[in-house]
Amino acid sequence: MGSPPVRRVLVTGGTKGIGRAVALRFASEGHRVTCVYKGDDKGRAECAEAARAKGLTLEFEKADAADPAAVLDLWKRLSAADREPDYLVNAAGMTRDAPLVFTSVTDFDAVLDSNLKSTFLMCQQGAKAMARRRFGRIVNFSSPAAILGHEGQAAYAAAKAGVLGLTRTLARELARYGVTVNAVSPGLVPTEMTSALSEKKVAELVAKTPLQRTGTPEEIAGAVRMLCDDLAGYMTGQCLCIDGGLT
Amino acid sequence: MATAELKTELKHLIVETLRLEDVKPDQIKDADPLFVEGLGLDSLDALELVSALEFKYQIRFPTDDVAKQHFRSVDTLADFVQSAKA
Repeated sequence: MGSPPVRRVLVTGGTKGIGRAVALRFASEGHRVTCVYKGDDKGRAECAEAARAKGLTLEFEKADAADPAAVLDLWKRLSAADREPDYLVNAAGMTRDAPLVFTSVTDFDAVLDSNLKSTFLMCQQGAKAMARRRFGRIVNFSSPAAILGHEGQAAYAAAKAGVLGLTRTLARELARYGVTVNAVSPGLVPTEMTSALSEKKVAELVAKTPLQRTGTPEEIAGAVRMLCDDLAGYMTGQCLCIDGGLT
Repeated sequence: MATAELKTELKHLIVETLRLEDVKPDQIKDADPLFVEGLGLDSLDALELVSALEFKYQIRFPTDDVAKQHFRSVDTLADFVQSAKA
C-alpha cells in the first residue's frame, strides 16, 4: 500500500478556535494547509507558534472571506501558487447575540455575511479547481442553532440554517464532479467565539447536553477529518452533529 | 492571439471539456447561444467550462452576474478572454 496523497487544504477562520484545530489536524497528517484569516495578526502569530511547537508548518492568507473582491484576489494567489484546495473547510464565522428586538439590521447583515456569504463565496471559487480535478471535499460549519433554534441567535441561526441549505444544494450540483459537500454542527466548544457566554449560560447548555460536558476543538477537527477521508466518498449533502447528543 | 484563432480555440475547448460527442467544433457558430438554446448545454456544466477557461488562460471570471453575460456565445466569451488577458 502506498502512502496517502498529500492534499492541499484550506481552512477559513483557520487561525483560531475550531478552525485552528482543523488546520493543525490536517498538518499533523502531512497535508499542505493554508489558513485564511480576516485580520487578526495576533491570532495568526499565535497559530503559527502553536504549529511550530508541534513541528508543523502552516501557510497563511489574509482575506475577508465575505468580500467578493477579496475572495477573487485570494483565489488568484492560491492558483498562482498551486494551492487551490482539495479540501475546503469553511470554519469562519461569528455571533452577535441579541434578542429579536435588539438585533440591528447592521448586526444581522454582518452575521449573515460572516457565516453564510463567506461560505458561498469560498465554495463558488473552490468548486472550480475541484471540478477540473474531478475530486474535492467541502466541509461547511453549521450549528445546533440551525436545527433547534436558540434564543438570542436569530441572525446566527438563520445564517447557519442557510449554510445547511447551501450544503445540500451544492452536494447535488457538484456530485457530478466527484466533489462531496457536507456540514458539521458543533455543540458548545469553549473558544474565543463562545467566551462571551456567562458561566450560568454554559452550565445551562451543558445540562441540556446528554454527554454533560462541552466539546473540544480537536473533537470537531476529527469529524471534519473523517468527512474528508476517502472512505467518506459516498457521503454528501449531510450534516454531522458533534454536539454531545444535544440535537 | 487573433480573435478568429481564439474563437476556434474556444470551440475546441468547449467540445473537449464537456466531452460533446455529437458536436464538432466547427459546427458551433460564433453567435450561437451556448446554454439551453443553441448548443443546448446544461447550465450545471458551466462550472467545468469556467474552470477550464480560467486554467487555460490564467484569468478569473467576476463573481457578480456579469459572468453570466460572458457565456452567451463564443463571441462574448472571446471578448471577455481578450479583455481579461489585456
